[in-house]
Parts: sequence; structure tokens; C-alpha cells
Amino acid sequence: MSIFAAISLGAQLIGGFQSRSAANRASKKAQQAAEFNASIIERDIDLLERQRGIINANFLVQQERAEQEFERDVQAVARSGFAYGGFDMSQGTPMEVLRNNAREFEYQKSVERFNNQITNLQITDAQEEAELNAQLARMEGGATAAGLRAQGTRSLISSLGQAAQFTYQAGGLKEIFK
Amino acid sequence: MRIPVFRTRAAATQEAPGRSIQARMRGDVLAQAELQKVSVGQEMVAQIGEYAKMRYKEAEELKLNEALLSAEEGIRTASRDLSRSSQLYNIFEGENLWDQQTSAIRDQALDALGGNRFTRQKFLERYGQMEVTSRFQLRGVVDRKIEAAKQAAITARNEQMVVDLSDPGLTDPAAMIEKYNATLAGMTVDQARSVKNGTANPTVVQAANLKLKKRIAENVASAYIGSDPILAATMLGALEIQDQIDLGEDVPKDEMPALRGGSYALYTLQNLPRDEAINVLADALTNANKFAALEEKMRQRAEAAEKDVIQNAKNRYFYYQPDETYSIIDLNRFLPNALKYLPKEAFADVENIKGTDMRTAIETYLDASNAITPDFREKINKLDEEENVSFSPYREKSDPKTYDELFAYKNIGDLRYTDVEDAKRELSREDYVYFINSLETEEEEAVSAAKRYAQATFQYDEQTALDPDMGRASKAAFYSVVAELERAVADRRLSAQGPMTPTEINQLTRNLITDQKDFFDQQLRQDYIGTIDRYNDLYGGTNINLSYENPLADLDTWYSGLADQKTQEANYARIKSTLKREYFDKGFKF
Repeated sequence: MSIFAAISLGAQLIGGFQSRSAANRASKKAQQAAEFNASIIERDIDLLERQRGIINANFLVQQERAEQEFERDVQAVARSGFAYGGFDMSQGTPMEVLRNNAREFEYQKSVERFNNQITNLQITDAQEEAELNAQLARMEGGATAAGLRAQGTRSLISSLGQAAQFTYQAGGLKEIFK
Repeated sequence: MRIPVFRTRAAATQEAPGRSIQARMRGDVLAQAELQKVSVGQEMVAQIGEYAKMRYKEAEELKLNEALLSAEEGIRTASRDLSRSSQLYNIFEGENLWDQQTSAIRDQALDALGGNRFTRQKFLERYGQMEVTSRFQLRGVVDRKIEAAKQAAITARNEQMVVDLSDPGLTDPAAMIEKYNATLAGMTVDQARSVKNGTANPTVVQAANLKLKKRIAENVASAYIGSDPILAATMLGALEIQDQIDLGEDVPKDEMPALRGGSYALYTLQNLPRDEAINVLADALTNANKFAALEEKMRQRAEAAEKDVIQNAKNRYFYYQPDETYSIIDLNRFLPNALKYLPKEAFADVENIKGTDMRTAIETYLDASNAITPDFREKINKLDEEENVSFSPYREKSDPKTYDELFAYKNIGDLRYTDVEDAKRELSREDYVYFINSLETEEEEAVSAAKRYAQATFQYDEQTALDPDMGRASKAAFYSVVAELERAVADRRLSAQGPMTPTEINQLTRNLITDQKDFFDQQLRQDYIGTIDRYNDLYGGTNINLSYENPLADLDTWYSGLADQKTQEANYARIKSTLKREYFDKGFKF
């Protein structure tokens, strides 16, 4: 076997090994990306679970709140009517009213705090997503840049290889430039 | 006082806390980036591989070209060697030398090529094309050679057949007729086989057979008729009578021709078409006439030579002086077997023979030849008388005027024997001998010069004269002039006038050449037509077609149109040189 046949054969084998190695690395990267994406999706599961808890708690609060409003807006009117009819329906004191007002205000603050927390949580998530996007964009940009650099280098090597072949077939540089 | 009641208007939001993150990592980009990173190394390895592959292909191409070149050279050499081989039947059949040699060449080239399957496959494809091309070319050459060898064998066989059947069979004509029939029957069987095999054309075979029969008939008829023209006429009559017999007519016995031992000759003629048979007889008759004329000429020449000797002897008789001595060599110059006629007593010293003994020898010869005429006897007697009275016919010193006059005649080639004889008594003996000898010498020189002149005029060449088909016109004209000239010279020697003078010989030669010129031209034209016909006939198989008007141009056209000029090169040169030498160089115009 001639030396060139051996080189050609070796190059083909090396090329094959290189391809396999590259494919392995690429698959690893793809796997990593998949893992990353899966973790983000799994976070959504947790988030939804948390949302369910909050929604349920919020529902209980709303139930209680609805009961109170019913008592106040509907039952109280009835009792006033009865009182007007001769029934002694009066109950509660100014202190009680004040306590109710205080509770009412406390409730409003809780609601607003709750709403604020929810909004902050949403902003935090948006922030996190923006950060992730930035991180991913940087990562992808780096990969693209690396790919483009490799492509350029490959083109250069390809040109050099073809130039070497042409130079040989033409009989050397002296023959080309004479 | 009414205490204000505070009622909150805030309502808890219905939105769930947190939000789904839509950002996703793109695996394909990362994987692609990884692949791109490796592609640099891959490209480098691929380029190295491509370069090595290119160099490998170049090396394989080089090996392939070298192997093809080597194989081509080998096939060409094998083709050339085999085309010159004498084993024609072993080239493609028998030992199959072509296959053996080309297989060896192919295997050797394959060994040099190495193991690359594609290179070997390419080589085998190209090799196959080369081998097939060369094989067909060589097959054509071999076929032509086989055909030529076959033709040569047939020609040789036919020649032998002609020789075998050309015996006139004078002693046993019936045996020759039987042999003739058997031989021709055998030939017909062989030819029928060739015709059946498709290797011979029936028309050509028929023409060749006729030619063969004609040649046999020519030889047999010529041998039988020989130099007797009468026999030719008898043979012609016999042919006609045979026709009558064949037609069933009764022929009286006394009209039957007497052809002693000639039935075979007649049979060979009967086997020819009538016009051909008549042509054969006409040729035989011509030859017989020529032979008869030649015999007559030879007889005349012998007589002339004898007369010449007798005349010389007579002349010489008076030259010898009784008291002087001579060598036997002198006598031998003009008298054959001179010793036979010399008196025995003269044998003792043949270098010093007395004049009287020399005269006696001459007289004895003339007596034996019955050549002593009364006139000559009278001259002898007169001389004896003169000598007895011591009378010498010569002067001590020649008369200057007579000598000058004779010398002047001699110089212009017009000195006659009678002039010398008449002036004999005015000359010294030495001068007389000088003039007499000069007559003979100048006559001989003039005759030689006249022959050369005739030879040059008719372009007669001794070399081509040996060939019966060449220079027949030149030969005939030259022989005719020379024969007439020699006859005239001999006649004059025998006459009282003595030898011819150079002037007379020259004049006679010119007259004879003028007489022959017309005949020569006609004969040359006849020969020319016959030669052109013969060449067209001989080489008709090669599509030669020479015209009478311009055969040299036709010959060049034929030769330049031949696919294989090598085989006809010798024939081309021979035909061209013959036509030029025999006709066109002699100024012949058709």
C-alpha cells in the first residue's frame, strides 16, 4: 500500500471518529438543554400548585367576606324593618361599629397586601424570565459565534487543501507563476 | 349620632401569583455549535485525506498509463512478430500463439498494476479494446498470408502439372492422354472442393483451368511441331477432321492425317476452345518458322565460316615465303587443326616451320576441303614458276605514291582488297602484308561498330534478351540486322572483291536498320499491348487496370489505392521499371 493510500485511509477513519465524538458532544449539549427546559417546566408545576393554594385560600376569604356582607347588607335591613314593626331588634354598640370598621379596614389592607404580593410575585417571575432569556441569548449567541468561527476556519482549511491539490496538479508553484 | 360605617371596596385579585416562564434553551443551536467546532478538525482531516486521495489517484493513473503503454507495446511487438512468423496456422488456431502471448502480456501488466480493483478493471477494459483491434488486424494479415501461401502452392502445383503434362509423349501418346485426364480430373476434384468451401470463385477457376490447358497445349504442340511448319498445318487439318468425325460425318481413310505419335498433342488441342487451339497452333507455326529460319541461318553461317577459312587459307598461301620460317601459331590463326595438315618432317620444330611446309599444309587442307579451283591451281603453279625463276612479286621498297594512295583509302575506310592486290607489285612485301592485314582488321572493327550501332538503335540488351517475354522486338530487329550484315560480309570475303570496306559496311548497316525500323515499331507495339494485357491478367485479382494510353499513371493510382502496399511493392517496382525500360525509354508512344 502506498503512503498516500495509507494517509487517505487514515483520514477517513479519523474523520469518522471525529464525527462520532462531535455527535456525542452535540447530543450531550442537547440533553443538557432538554434537562434545563424540563426544570423550567417543572417549576411551572410548582407554581400552579402554589396558585391553587392561594386561589383556595382566597376563596375561603371571599366566602367569609360574602357571609359578612350578607349579614350586614341583607339581615340588618330585615332587622331594621322588624324594629320598625315593633320588634325590638336593636343590638350592637358604637364600639361594635368601630370594631367592625377597624376589621373592615384591616381586611382592606390585607387584601391590598395580598394583591401587592401577587403583583410582586408576578414581577419577580417576569424578572427571572428576562434574566433567563438574557442568559440563553448570550449562550446561543456564543454558540452561534463559535459555529461561525469554526465555519470560517473550515472554509479556510478547505481553500488551503484545494489550493494544495491544484498546486500539485499544476506542477508546483514555479509552474503556476512562471 | 351616627357612627360612620367603613366599608372596604378592595377586592382580592383573582390572578394567581407567579407566571409561567416561556424562556427555553435551544438544544439544536448548542448541538450545532458543537458540531461546528469539530468540523474544523474534520475539514482539516478531510483535506489531508482528499490531497492524499488525489495523489493516490494520480499514482494509480500513472501506473495504469504505464501498464497500458507496456501492454500496447507488447501487443504491437507480438503482432509484428507473429505476422512474420511462418507458423501461420498456429497463430489463432492450433497452439493459439496469439492468445498465449497476449495473456502473458496482460498478466505481466496486471502484476505491475497492483491490487486496486478499479485500476485493474480500467486496465482490463482498455486492454480488451487494444487486444481486439490488434487481433483483427493481425487476423487480416494472417488470412492474406495464408491465402498467398495457398495461391503459391496452387501455382507451384499447376507449374509442376504443366511440366508433367508438357511431354509430347511421342512414344506412348495413349499413356500421356491417360495421365492428362487423370491429372486434370484430380485438379477438378480439388477445385470443386474449394468452390464448395467458398474459398474459390468458380469463374476464376474456370479461367485458370483454361489457361493451364492452353499452356500445356502450347508446350506439347511446340515440342511436337518443333521446327517443322508442315506439322502445324497437318495438326490444324487433323483438328478439322476431328470436328467432322465428332459431327458423325464419314471421313475417308486416305484423308485422315498422318500424325505419327501426335495424338496426345492433338488431344490437348481438342480440349481447348477452337479459337484458342488455333491460336496455339499459330504460335507453334510461328516458332517453327523461326526455328527453320534459324537452322537455315546457322547452316549458312557454318558454310560462310568454312568459306572464310578457305579464302583466308588461299590468301595466306601467297604470304608464306619458301625460304623463311614461321611459327605453327601463325598457321593456327586461320586454319583449324593446322597440325593435321602439316608434313611430318615439320613436326620437329613447330616454331620454325619452313614456308614451303606452311604452303603444303594449306594445300593439303584445301584439297581435303575440295576447295582448290582451277583458278587457284593456276595461281599456285604460276607462283611456283615465278619463284623457280627467282622472281619476287614484291619490290624492295614500296612506291611512295602507291603507298600514299592506299594509305589514304585506308584512312577513309575505303581501301579494297582488289586495290591492294592490284598494287601488289608496287609494294614491298611488308607493306603488302600490312595492307592485307589491315583489310581484315578494319573489316572486323567496322562490323563490331555496326553491331553496336544496331544494338543502340534497337535498345537491345543481352540481359533482358535471356527473358523470352522481354525485348522481343529489340531482339528480333537486332538479330535480323546482324544476320544480314554478317551474311553480306561473308559473301564479300568469298568473292573476288575481298573483304568489305568500313564505308561499305556502314552504308549497309544503315540500310538494314532503315529496313527494320517499321517492323521494329510494329513489333514493339504488339509486345506493348501483350505486356499490358499480361499484367492486367496476372494481377487482376488486386484490381489493377492498366490502360494502353497511360499505364504508368494507372499503375501509380492502383498502388496508391492499395490498403497494404507492402505486399505489392515489388510487383509495382517491377512493372514500372519494365514498362519504362522496354517501351517508354525506347521512345515508344501508343
